[in-house]
Amino acid sequence: MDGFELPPGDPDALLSSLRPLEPVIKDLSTQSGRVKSGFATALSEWQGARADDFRMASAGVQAQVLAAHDCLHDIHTAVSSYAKTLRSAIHQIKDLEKQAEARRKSATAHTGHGPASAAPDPGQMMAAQHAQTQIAHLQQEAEKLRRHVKTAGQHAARVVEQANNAAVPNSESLTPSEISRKVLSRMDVRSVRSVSAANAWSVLSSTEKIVPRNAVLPDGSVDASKLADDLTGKGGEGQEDGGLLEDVLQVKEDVENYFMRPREIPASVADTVQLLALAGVNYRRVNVKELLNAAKSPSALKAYIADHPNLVRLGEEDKLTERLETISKALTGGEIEKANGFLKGTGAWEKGTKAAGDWLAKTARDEGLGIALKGALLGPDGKLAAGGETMAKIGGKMIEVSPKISEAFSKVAPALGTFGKALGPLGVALQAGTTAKDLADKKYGAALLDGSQTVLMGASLLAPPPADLICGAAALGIMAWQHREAIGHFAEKVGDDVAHGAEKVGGGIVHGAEKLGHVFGL
Amino acid sequence: MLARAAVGGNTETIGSGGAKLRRSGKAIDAMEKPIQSFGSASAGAAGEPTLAGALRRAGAAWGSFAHGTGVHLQAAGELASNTSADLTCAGG
Repeated sequence: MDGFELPPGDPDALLSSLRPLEPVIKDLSTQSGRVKSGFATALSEWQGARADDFRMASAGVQAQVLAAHDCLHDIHTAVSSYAKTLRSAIHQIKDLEKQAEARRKSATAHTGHGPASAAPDPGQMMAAQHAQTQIAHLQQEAEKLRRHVKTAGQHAARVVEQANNAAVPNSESLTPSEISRKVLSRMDVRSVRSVSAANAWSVLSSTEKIVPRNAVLPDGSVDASKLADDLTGKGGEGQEDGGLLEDVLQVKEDVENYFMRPREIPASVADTVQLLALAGVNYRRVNVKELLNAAKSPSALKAYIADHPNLVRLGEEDKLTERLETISKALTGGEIEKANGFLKGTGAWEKGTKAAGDWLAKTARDEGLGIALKGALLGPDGKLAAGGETMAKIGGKMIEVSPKISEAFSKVAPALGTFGKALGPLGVALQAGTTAKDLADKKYGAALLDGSQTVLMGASLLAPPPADLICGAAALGIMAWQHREAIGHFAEKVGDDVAHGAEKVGGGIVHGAEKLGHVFGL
Repeated sequence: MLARAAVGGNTETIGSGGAKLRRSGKAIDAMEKPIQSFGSASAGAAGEPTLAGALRRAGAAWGSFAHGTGVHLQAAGELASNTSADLTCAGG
């Protein structure tokens, strides 16, 4: 029957296709341990000039094995979830069609009883119309399910593309054979026929650049905390350029360990320090190291605050208010095309997010913004803040000190309430909580995205124009992208448009502002 | 035979580390084909065109990546295992 067409795809075949991948993922996990042990064994006795090069290669190769494991795991999860959605939708649509068929037969049976020449019976006509209405409703349900499958498929595609980009950037525009060539070229193994002592160093050359030198331990493994420090600019040595796995290193387990590290700041002043650091970087009056030193005792902190009377200010409030209102109006007033235009026209996303990323990277390195925001993810006990409580407190304090910002966000919040989130300092707080939870749940891909959003929203409050505008709008784009399914259910046409525009934004953030992840170690 | 305590260290220990790395290298290299097959098979069954394209690319990207990583590990194993050559080559 028309209107009950099944969505394309074979869920059972899709699930079967995942089976060969499962032992691969499991074995990569096993091999990760063996590789670490193999390098450690060799390095335990290897001394001499090139032992250090071997150590660097060790860290790089270990990162590659981890990356392959994590990315294939993400792909498996996304495809498996999509296959189940597809299977369920197919079953439901078949069931809807059966119901529709039954309605049609029943209506036909009722209308077919009288003689052909007899005038139509009003009761029968009403029954037939009722059946038609019911069938139309069932057809709409089927259409909704097909759209849901499409959205789920696009989401899975996004996850897979993100994983692919860790192996080779901008892989979307390449054919599979081009991708293979590019991956092998980047790994310096394209022309390797066989490995021998003569070519082994040149084969390994690309791996020596993946992990920064100061984050490599004597046994050739990666020092998680130093890596995180380096990524946030705290380390003495910048990250070497050209690392193959930049994206993946941001989200792997080692970085989570950094977040879990106990901090030296006493619980009694932790929140204050975080607030000061967060607000103070805007005016470049805070040296984070000095601040953290002062925070070791409440009296020293009090003296520090006294020396910095203008510390807690946010600045550029009027401009920020105006810009957020523009977005808010467009979203609430149904002027979605305007919103899309606004999002797209903010200065070509790729260029804009890069500018924002550059600013953030510089500021984080110069001023410790990254450290401040990262610090805000931690509770006073040094553990990940449960439910974003710590950040929520900071958000509350920021609203207290800046009524204009509070007002601006209260106007915007209803528009975003549809999606279950609030924009502004509180939104930052909630997002930081989400990031923390993602990390705790080992959802590293999600953490990267939530982390980007958190950072971008934070930056929209602190950055000078035009970076603040770009960051704020970009964060909004990510949020809309993350919630495109809910948007789609809420307002079909509008949602599609937002989702379409926002998907580009969400993708653009991950690809276009790569530095953000480095800065914040996510 | 006694392990040679060369300038570069105990070559037998270095060599045993190298053997582990070579074995892991071969195991990871062998993942190339299953990953590629997964890419083609899943793309064929996906239905959604954007997902099918992404999966086809995933098979290519991660299959090659596994091969490259396998080669890297074999190179590392070669350097560590071939103690007579590597310490010269490595400057140890």
